[in-house]
Amino acid sequence: MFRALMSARRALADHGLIFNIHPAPDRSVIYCDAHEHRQVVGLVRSSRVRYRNADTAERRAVRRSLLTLRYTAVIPYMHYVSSMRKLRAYLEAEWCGAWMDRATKRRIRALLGSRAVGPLVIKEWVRVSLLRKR
Amino acid sequence: MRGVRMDPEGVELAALDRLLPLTDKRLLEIGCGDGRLTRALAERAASVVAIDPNRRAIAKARRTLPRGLRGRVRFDVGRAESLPYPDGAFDAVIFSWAL
Repeated sequence: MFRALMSARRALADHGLIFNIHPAPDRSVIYCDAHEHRQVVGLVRSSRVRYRNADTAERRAVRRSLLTLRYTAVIPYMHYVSSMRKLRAYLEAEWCGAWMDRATKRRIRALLGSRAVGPLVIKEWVRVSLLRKR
Repeated sequence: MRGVRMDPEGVELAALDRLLPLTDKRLLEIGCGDGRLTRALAERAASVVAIDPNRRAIAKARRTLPRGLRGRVRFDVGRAESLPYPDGAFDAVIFSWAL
């Protein structure tokens, strides 16, 4: 992680900026729009170790006075998925080390079996940070 | 991926627009995947070099890039740890869910 950050720093002009966006350690919530209400159906769980390591790499670069942290925030990021099958495939393909527990899967199946159900919505918290080369 | 819409509200781009002035900038996007964000960046910046280790994703990104943006965007296969670019070549680097 730190090596990647330093490699990016080298490629930057003086006082250039690094914008980093990645998932925050918070769990992601799955919603479903059903019967005119948005219902929470469960959580996407993941280890997020990789992203914690990325935050550590950022802090290390700041501590060593290689970069300055100009801004950081955590914002909600939404994913809309049309079916349970797509959701499972999406998590497998795009979310490293993520999974749903059995209760979540069961609730989604039950909801999708009823009528008037909108897409599955994953609300993920992502961390954005802006760093400047020193 | 078909059947999946990511960030239709545009919070990612809104954060970028607010924090990082992109006009006339030379950008490097690390972890561009299939170019979802690259297209939006290219509409704002002077030039974008986008890199990802996934060959198939890069092939798709090249294939789906609108003709009007082709002069300003280059896609490369590669890793963040060993970037094949000269020192100081970019005004800003964007890590797209890649660090």
